[in-house]
Amino acid sequence: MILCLACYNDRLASLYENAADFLLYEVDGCNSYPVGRLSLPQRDPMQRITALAAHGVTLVICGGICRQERLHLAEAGIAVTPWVCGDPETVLEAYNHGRLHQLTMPGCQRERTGQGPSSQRVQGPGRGQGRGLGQGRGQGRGQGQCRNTGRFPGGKPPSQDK
Amino acid sequence: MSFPTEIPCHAVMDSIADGVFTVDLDWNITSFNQAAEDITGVPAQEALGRKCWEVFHSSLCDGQCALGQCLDEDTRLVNKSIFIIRPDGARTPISISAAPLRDEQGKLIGGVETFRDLSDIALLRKEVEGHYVFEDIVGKSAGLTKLFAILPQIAASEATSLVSGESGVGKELFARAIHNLSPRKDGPFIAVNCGALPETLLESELFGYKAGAFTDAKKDKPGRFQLASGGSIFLDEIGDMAPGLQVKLLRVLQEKTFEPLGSVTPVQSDVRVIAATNRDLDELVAQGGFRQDLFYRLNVARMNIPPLRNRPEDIPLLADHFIRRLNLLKDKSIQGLSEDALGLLMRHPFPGNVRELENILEFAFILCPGDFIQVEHLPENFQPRQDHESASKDAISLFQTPMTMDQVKCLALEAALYRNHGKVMATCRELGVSKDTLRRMRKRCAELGE
Repeated sequence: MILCLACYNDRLASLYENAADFLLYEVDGCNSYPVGRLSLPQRDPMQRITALAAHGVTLVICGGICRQERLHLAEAGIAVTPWVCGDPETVLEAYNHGRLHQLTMPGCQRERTGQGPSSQRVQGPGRGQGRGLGQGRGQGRGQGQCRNTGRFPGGKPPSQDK
Repeated sequence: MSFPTEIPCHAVMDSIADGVFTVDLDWNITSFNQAAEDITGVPAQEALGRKCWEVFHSSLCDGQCALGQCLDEDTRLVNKSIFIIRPDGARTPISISAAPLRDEQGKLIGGVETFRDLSDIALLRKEVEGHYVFEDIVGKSAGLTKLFAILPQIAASEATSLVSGESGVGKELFARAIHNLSPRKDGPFIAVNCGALPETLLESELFGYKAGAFTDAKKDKPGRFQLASGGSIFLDEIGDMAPGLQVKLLRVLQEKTFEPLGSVTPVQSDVRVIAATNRDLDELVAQGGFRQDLFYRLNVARMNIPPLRNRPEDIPLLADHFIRRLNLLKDKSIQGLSEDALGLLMRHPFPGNVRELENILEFAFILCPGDFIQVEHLPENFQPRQDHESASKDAISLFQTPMTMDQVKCLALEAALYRNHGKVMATCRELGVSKDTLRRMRKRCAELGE
């Protein structure tokens, strides 16, 4: 599968809508290899989706994203893991080791895990807090086997300015 | 003027209706007031110490930072309109002001940004100007998502468009979105309801007339096509257009010219036509009620909007949207629908579609005094037909003596057979049972001696 990080300079863009650079990685098991960089500064949403789909991108990891953009991406068969922050190497490393949740933007944990408040406000009885009896097996990714293979072409990222 | 030390600064900050946050020189957030929490949807304890772009998610955060510009140029910025995206994915328009922060010695120590939620103002502006884009079409159903995907391309194409769908689904909203996303967005958007006017009047409305064309035509009057020049014309209820006018419209579409009534010179038409209908145009063409050639001219880019009953998942979003809008218009602060009321709405077939939902909520706003719309605030047809107490009284009067369930069933069977003069099939229909069930019931009743 092809994974895409929506970036601005040396970090994930604050918003997918603002991103100008899209770093593409081939994910093979728990290793990721850089396969290209898309520079799309024009910010046209449909052109952007067409370009991502044409490069076979199936997952976008990004910062914030509005509902409409996310729907458009889903319509094009591209899954989105939003509300992630950090530099591309850290994000990729976290993805490879199943630790992306540690890079969630402040206040966005519930949204990322799909537990956020729905847009409608419905009054209803409170949810129960009973303890479950589950004994399921975990499905966590193994530690120590995966590694981020190689830095992205383009050398040292630009400076830390905003 | 220095701030009095005995006044708690955080209390003052939290009392301000505008969001306020401050950053240090490394862009780490150092304070975040209550209004900032409310507007951004990010709790202060999570925001403090984090980079401002990880919290604020604004359209300026990647490369056009307003605060950065203020610090670099040592200037202030006032009321710049931008948008932020909240953690729930909602795009929120805000206006921001920013300024550098200095200590008592005048040394630069960071910056302060204040921001104001403009959602309500933006909503009212749209209400007044009718400037809707497709983000304003509320829904997340698969049917609408497919339309969202093709709408920008259709809008950009300049092709004649046909919007179809039942009455009340929002065809005009889609038409306006097509116009506002098209290269003609700066031109006029003229809407005409073809079903509302008689043929001759509609002709003069669409194409205009010259002075002297008929009695009382004292001066030239431009038609809607002329008024829409450089923009789009929306022909609603096109299926109701008279055959004579259909020919004239066909000519406009084919030759891009029309002749005002009483004129001998054709006028060039630079108008995009967006038509809409709630009728089945394919069937109407087959029946001969609508010209086939016109149908094919209009049907270049077609959008069929699904009825609300086929996309119930949109009902909560639409309800929320209308409640927000009505809160503004009626100066109320209703927070939403109760679970029971929403459940009733979700089960309702909505023959009048989105317009019906809007009307139901408008009615509920009249009756609802509190935070949430309850079942009793909904219109009459949503109320239980008979309350439990009176139903119980009726049952008690009907069955004076105590009975078992089998006895009750036998009684019902006997009464139904009597009413239907012993006809088995009619009795089955009345009781809602099959022939076999009826036979078993009769056998059982015979065994019980009922």
